[in-house]
Amino acid sequence: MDWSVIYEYRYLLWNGFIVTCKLSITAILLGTLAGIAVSMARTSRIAWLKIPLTAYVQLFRGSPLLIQLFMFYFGLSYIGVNIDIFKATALVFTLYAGAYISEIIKAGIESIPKGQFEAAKALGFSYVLLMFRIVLPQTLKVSLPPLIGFNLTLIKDSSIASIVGYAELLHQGKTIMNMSGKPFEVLLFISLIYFVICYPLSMFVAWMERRIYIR
Amino acid sequence: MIIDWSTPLRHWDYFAGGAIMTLWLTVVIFLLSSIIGVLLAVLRYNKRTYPLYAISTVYVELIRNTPALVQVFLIYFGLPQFGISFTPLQAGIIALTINNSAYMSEIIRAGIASIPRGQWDAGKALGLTYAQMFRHIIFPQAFKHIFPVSANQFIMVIFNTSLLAILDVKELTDRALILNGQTFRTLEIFVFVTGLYYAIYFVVSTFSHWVNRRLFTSHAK
Repeated sequence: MDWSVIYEYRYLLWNGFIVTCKLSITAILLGTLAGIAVSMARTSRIAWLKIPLTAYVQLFRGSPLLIQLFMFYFGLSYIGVNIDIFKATALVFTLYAGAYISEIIKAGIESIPKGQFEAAKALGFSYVLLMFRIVLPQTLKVSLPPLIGFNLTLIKDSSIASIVGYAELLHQGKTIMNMSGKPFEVLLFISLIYFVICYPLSMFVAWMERRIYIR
Repeated sequence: MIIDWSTPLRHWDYFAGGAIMTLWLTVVIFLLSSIIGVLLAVLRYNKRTYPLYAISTVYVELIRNTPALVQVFLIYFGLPQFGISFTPLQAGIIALTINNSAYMSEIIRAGIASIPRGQWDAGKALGLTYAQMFRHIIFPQAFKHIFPVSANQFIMVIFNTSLLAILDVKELTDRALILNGQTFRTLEIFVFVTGLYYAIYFVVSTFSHWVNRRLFTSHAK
């Protein structure tokens, strides 16, 4: 084993790390917003929104992320939409995350007793206000652990973007592998980076779940 | 630009073969990782054999906190450096089995942990051995909790097998890429394959919900 390869290509790895962070953070933020919006619309009484949104959630939860990436990245340029790779991957990751997160938040919303909705209506709250002031804050305790858990998955899944050529950590790793001929060290180091990001988060999730369970 | 569905339709048998390969891979990986998952769960449940507990915990945490794709790369591209090399199919099955076994062990462990303490005590009071208690009291009850979660995990394995396309394992995604390279009917092919994946997902999740409702719901809702 020859670890000097890591030091030699530190700039490429750092670059990949930044790009991975960029994609993950974009997907987490936009995906969470999309998830909240979709779950609110799906639990509201606007009937015509329900069918397309349910179809969207079903479709993105019912196919592999890799296929979705191919579909958007190759498919959009095929129908003549010019899109750069960051926007294409960020779009797919946002849609993918939005579908999963909306299910998590929807489950949270449905766990709130009906009386709360009726009380808010009696007080004259609008639906949006009712959600943000009354329902969503209460769902936080139930849906925060799975929400962070999913975002953890999303950070790990950002490595899949390397397959369509997005220059994130694993993609840079592949480049280094080809240049140095030391695949094992490079891949082990990349695993370590993911582990350092993900392990504290998963400990946090486990801690939160334990706390909820005890109460 | 003309949308022409004849390309995927003409090659339906090629895709059907890919779908069968995907399902075959999924079943093999799921069965192997369930066996390893049970072993890991038992080791992790029992803190009395501390070294085994520690090793299995480290294994599970390492696997669960790194991407599956990196694990596939490590097995296929990393190990040949030490003279251990696999065919793409072997590497894919090994890597995804390693990956999935960690998740399965957590699912099974959570299932066992959901059984109240009193059940163990009752088993001990009746003079059952540890294995008997596990087989006759704990596992049948825990299975009720394990089944729906592991059905979800089965679906995750279906989706994860698409990663093996990078190793040229001829499953559904790989075949879509090959046909795309030959015909350039990108949109039609990927829409068609997405539809196939969705069909598989729909059948599996509907079936598992049905089984769950029929067999494991003790009280009518």
